[in-house]
Amino acid sequence: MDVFLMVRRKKTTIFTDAKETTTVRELKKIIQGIMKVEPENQQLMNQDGTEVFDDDKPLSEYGLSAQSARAQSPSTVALVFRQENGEFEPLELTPLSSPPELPEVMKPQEPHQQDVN
Amino acid sequence: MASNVPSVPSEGLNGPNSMYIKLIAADGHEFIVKRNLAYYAKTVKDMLESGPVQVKEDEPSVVHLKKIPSNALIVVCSYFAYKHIYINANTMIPDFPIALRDSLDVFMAADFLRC
Repeated sequence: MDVFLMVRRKKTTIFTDAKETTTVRELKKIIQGIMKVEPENQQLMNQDGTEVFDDDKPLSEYGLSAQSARAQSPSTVALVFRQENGEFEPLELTPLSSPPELPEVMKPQEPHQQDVN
Repeated sequence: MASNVPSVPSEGLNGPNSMYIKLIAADGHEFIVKRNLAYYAKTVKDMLESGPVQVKEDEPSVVHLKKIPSNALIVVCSYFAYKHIYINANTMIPDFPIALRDSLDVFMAADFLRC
């Protein structure tokens, strides 16, 4: 089944799709075609940076399934590259633009208690 | 030396037949999407196919969208894949979720991009 992904690094977001059975290594090869970075110099992880993905595991291993990673709400996978010194760079995802605040009238209303005298 | 014009999409971002293209939002965020999906936005298709500058084989295909903020463009990119799946579908089509805060920006982006 197809899983829809956003691979994000700093200011870059790659929209791609894969299968639940696609391995992490295969996803890195797709990224290589776009970003021209060898898979050995890429590291994929969840967007919190708490879990690094193992090359040999399928995407489903990391909770990326057709039910959760849909076209209209793709799942985010974070990407970092290896630096000159051999270490991987720290995870950094640049936040998107913030839309303006909703005006008062459009915010969900709290029910008001009215005093009736 | 005879030059071969590829008719199959070439890997990556480079050249006029690349599989992926890059859309750059107002704040500099770069979104890389498959060319065939981005072409659902007629403005993108026109800019790349009949724009004044022809993309060379070793240059990436890039569209600058200076008026579209990244919070809207990310929603539009998700929409392309959604449209592709359900455009010919006979099954129940699920709703496409858009956060209320983003909806005005998304609406203006969709209008400009004609999708």
